[in-house]
Amino acid sequence: MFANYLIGLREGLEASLVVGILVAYLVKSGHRDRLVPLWAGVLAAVTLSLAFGAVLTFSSSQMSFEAQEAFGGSLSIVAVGFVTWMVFWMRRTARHLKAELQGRLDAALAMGTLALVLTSFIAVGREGLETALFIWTAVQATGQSTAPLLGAGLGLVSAIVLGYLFYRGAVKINLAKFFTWTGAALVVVAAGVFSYGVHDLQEAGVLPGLNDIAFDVSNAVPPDSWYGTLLKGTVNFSPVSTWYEVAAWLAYILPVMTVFFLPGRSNTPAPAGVPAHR
Amino acid sequence: MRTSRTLPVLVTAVVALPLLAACGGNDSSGSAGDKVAITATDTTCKVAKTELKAGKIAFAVANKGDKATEVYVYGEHEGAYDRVVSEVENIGPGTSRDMKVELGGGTYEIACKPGQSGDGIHQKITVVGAKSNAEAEEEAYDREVEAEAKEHRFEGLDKFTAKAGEKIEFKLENRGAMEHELKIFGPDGKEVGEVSPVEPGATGEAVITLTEPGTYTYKCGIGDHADSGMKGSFTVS
Repeated sequence: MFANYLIGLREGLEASLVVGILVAYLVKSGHRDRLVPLWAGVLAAVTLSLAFGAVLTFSSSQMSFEAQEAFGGSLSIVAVGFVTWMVFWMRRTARHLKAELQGRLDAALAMGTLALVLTSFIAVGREGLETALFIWTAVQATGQSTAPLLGAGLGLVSAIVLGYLFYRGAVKINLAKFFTWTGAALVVVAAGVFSYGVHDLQEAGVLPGLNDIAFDVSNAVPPDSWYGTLLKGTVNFSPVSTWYEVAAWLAYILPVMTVFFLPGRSNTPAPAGVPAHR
Repeated sequence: MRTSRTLPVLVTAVVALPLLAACGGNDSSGSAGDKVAITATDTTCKVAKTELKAGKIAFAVANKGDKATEVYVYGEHEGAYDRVVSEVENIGPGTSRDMKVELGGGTYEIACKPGQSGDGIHQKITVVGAKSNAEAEEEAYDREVEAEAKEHRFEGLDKFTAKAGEKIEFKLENRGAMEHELKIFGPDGKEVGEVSPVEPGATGEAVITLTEPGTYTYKCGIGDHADSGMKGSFTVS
């Protein structure tokens, strides 16, 4: 029961957080009307995942292991692209917001709507298939016991509640801080998704180095403990990481965070007039 | 409102994609053999059969423990079993998951990982029945032709023609009371292959590549069968 609960929580947490941040952002910037396409993206991803999962569970059709991993891994990397785009888009519109440039904000939002729909769709859809398969097997087990389904369902509900609480907390803090913290949170999430995607591609055999372990702290942080679950669900922390995963995480987070915290204009011209040393 | 265009598109996608999913990237296991049960608990990993036939294998993984588990199939790579062939994760306590894999001949290890961490509990399995070359060769023919042998006639070859280069499986069913065979000779009179002598009531076959165009002849080479009428010819264009 509890183990099933933790799986549900872990699988649902990250999507719930990302959606929470996006909703908070829209509400905060006074664009509640954009919530409809966002929820449409979420709904579409949930429906699709459940449908696809049902096809794979209840029919004799199957996806090969490599195909499944390659699918999950590629989708992760696409998701990273979108979340990154989203972060910088939010950052730019935040500046317009502070400068009260309503016209430019609307222009950015027009393009941003598609980005919103796609980001929410991919954030939920990325883990959606695996979660759907997990849910359907729990449904199948209800013949013998309802505990698995109950546990899984409660886990997902908890994930959604946590996402909602995050949203409530995020809406309360002041605007400047809000953009900084939610943006930084998204960058950390994206870095985790990126390294997780790399791991999937290693398992699919697309990338090498699956057995070159950088560190293994699974004794200190068991994946089936509540704190292991939370770490995995929020920032995609794997207790056992390969060198590739670590490298991918660093390669993403260092430059992106740096650029994110660079003040003001994102395209600062190179400082002129510095004499070159010979 | 600008969502009026987005929603129909999404709805269409929702309806269409499962259909696409149903026919893309997956193949139904036509030879639905019995599933091989893997029973996982928090301390054990029991594979019902450790000798399996090569091909598509469906494992049914049941988690009877209290911890969530994942199951891996490892193939051999440079002496160690660390090449992931397949994996199912998130098998919660009290649930079962199917894992379908295609395995060629060789040895593999199945590992259950209670708590979804560590190396897990390994169990070696052997997969037998990788096809020998001769069998594979035999399977790779273009088409087959069925002939019957009686005293003293071949039937089924009168209308037979082929194109040069075709690989034909000749099937010979013996419906007579004596042993018969089918020898085939190329345009140059040299034997290109034969269905070895077949007992009455049995069937024999041979895969023969008809490389040269021209007129081929065939006969039964046993006793005086050919002179009694067990011979003929066909054209290869």
